[in-house]
Amino acid sequence: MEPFIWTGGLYKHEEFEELVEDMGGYILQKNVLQSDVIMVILVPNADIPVIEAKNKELLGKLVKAPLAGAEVAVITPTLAYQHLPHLACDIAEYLRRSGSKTNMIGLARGVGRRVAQLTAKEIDLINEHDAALFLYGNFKDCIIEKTKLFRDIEVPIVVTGGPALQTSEVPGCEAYIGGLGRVMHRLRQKEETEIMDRIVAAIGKVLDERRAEFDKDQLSVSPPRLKAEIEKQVPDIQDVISPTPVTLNLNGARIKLDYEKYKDVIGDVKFDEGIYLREVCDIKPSRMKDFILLRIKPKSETGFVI
Amino acid sequence: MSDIAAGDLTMEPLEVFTVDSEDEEGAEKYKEVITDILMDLNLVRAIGRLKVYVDPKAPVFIIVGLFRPGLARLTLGDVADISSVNEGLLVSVREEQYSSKAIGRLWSKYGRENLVQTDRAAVIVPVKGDFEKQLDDVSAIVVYDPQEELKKNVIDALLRITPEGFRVRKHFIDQHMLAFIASEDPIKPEWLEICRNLRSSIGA
Repeated sequence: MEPFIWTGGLYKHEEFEELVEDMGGYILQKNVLQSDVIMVILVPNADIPVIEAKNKELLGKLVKAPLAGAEVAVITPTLAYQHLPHLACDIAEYLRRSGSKTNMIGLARGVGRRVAQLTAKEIDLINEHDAALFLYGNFKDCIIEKTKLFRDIEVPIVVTGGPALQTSEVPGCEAYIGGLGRVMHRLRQKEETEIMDRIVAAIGKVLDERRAEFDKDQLSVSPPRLKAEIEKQVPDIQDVISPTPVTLNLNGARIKLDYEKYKDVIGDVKFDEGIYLREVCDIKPSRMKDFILLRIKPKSETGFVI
Repeated sequence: MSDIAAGDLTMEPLEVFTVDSEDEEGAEKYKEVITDILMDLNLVRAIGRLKVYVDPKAPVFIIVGLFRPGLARLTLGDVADISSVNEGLLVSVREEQYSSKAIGRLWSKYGRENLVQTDRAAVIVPVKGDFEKQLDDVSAIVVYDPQEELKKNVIDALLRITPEGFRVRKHFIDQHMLAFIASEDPIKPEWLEICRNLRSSIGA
């Protein structure tokens, strides 16, 4: 399936939505902004021309979303004005425009060189994402010193910083992209946009590698299907005001409902094949608020793929 | 920079602005950061010379700067009409933007209960003793000091410029110059020496 972002008017957008669903695609996220609609969708490769034709008819805009269906953490040493807002927010927004669900994480004790550290909660929270993007500073020495923060992080890490370094010089990361560093102005220049494109490409690459990793031992159910079934069978999800009540990960989802109250309801979601959700997923409390975290079991564990 | 004479305060905005570090690429980037912050806080014209030294390995961050001579202070005589009435001196503030501050200053000087406020921007100050002297006293009250504002902004800028983790700080700031050292570790005497050298190189 191919991910896209569709932007169009409210008028007749249901036709587009229904077409995507009829073809076996999925609506990953839908935002209605007054008279505009922005949807992140997954479309089966064979049906892309049909979708493109419908888009033309509705005068919408259809662009590829390389990061769709993944959750990326954008991590700054703190949330203070040394690091925010310009650089971090501009990058986070740029990633969102490529379809990812982006969360910004400001560390509690991420500042300095020798004194920098991650708390246990931060490590768990970052590990719930599909990739982590660390925004580091201007000095080569400090960037290399601060790679000690990566020690317990299990998801792929992408780092940005000021100096032009090779990825091999920065231990523990999958990709290093130089040229940004600590920037105190909006990223509007052409060169800065190009660097952000490189960040998107790097994250896209690590996500592809991660997908390939999961494909070696296939997931028992695909995350978009999980989302579709939960939305169909758990009516309370409609009352959640968050823009993505079910946030997709590459190997699961985060459901923005109270863990204690809803874990059994979620576990009882039944697929058409007669299988319950609790059989194919680990249901765990998320480190984010009191949400529910789902991790899909691989085929080797369940013995089947639905 | 030996040609810069000490005490010579006629200078262009940022006529000297350098960032020194072993990591030249980082220093170049840091220069951009400082320019952005100074522009954000409208300080570019207020600072004449600025030198920064960064050693990420130590780690230490030192900044010294020289202010350009700023605007004159505004007194009550500049912003208000002062006239004599039966009850005392009628101070009527002409410039709207200073009215609340001017009246606040009068309150704190003479006591709120002793003043008669006739209008939003006018008060009567009772005369006690020599009329001439009191007229001069009232006229001389400072209602706006650009130096004070500048100082506040400069301190804000310094905190924004300094790497956030450098929480051990030593600073000196007066009307003409500023010096600031920050690090993660206790400040070492040799850093003070570097700071002193930087100061003398910009004529502070």
